[in-house]
Amino acid sequence: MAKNFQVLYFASARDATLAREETLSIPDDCHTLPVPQLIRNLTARHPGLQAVFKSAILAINNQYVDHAGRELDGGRMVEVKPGDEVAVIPPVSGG
Amino acid sequence: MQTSVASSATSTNPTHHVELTTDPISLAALVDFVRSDEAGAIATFSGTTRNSFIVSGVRKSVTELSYEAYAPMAIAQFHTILNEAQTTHFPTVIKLAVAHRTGVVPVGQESVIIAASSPGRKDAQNATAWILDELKRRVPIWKKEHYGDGSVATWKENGECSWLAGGPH
Repeated sequence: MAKNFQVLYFASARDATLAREETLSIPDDCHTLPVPQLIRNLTARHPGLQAVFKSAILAINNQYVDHAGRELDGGRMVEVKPGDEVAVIPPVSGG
Repeated sequence: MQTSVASSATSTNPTHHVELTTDPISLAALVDFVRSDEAGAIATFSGTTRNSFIVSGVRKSVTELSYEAYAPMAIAQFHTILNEAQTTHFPTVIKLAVAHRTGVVPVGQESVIIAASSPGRKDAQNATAWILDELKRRVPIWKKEHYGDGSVATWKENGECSWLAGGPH
C-alpha cells in the first residue's frame, strides 16, 4: 500500500526546487516519518533547500512545525503520516 | 497562476470577512462590510506597494511586486487572527475584515486592507494595527521585488516573522 504525502514549496523554496508540489512516500519499514528525517530527505533530493532551511520552517496540515517536529502553536511533537500535506515555509513577507 | 480565493462562510464567524484574491481589493467594500448601526467608529489600514526600497543601504527602484500565498493556510490563519483580536484583545470590536491581494500588484495599489468597527474608536484603531502586526508575523504570504537595475529579484522577509526572532531550530 502506498504511503504517500504531499510536499508544497513556496517562494524561495519553489525557486530552489523548481517545483510547486511533489508526492513523496514514507519508507516501507516506517509508519510515520520524523521531521528531522524529512528535512534530510528533502535537502538530499534538492541541495538548494539547504540554504532555504537556514530560515524556513515547515507546515504540516496547516500547522507550523519547527525542524525538530514541534508545533509552534502548542508545542506538540508531530511526525509525517500518510495523506499529510507538508509545506516548506520560508520567512513570511505578507503585508 | 493562483485563482481568486475567498473564504468560505462555513464554520467561520459571520462578523469576520477574509479575502485573498488576485483582483484589485476595495477599501469601500471592506468599510461596507464592517459598517454597523452599533458602531461609532470604523478604522482602516491600507498597505500600498511603493516604487523603491533600501537594499543594503542603497535605494533601488522597484518595477514590480508580486505576492504568493499558501492560500488555504493563509485563510485559516487570518480567521484565527481575527478571532483572537475580537475574543482576547479588543472585546468591543463589532466587525473585522481583511483583504490581501496576490499575484502582481502594480506600484501604488493596495496589497492589503484591514477594516474594523467598534462603538468607540480605540478598539477599532488598535485592532487594525494589531491584525497587521500578526499578519506580518505568521500568515503564509510572500512578497517578491523586481528591480529596475536588472539585479536579481528577491523574496522579502518580514522582520516581524514569528520564527526569525528566536531562530527556527
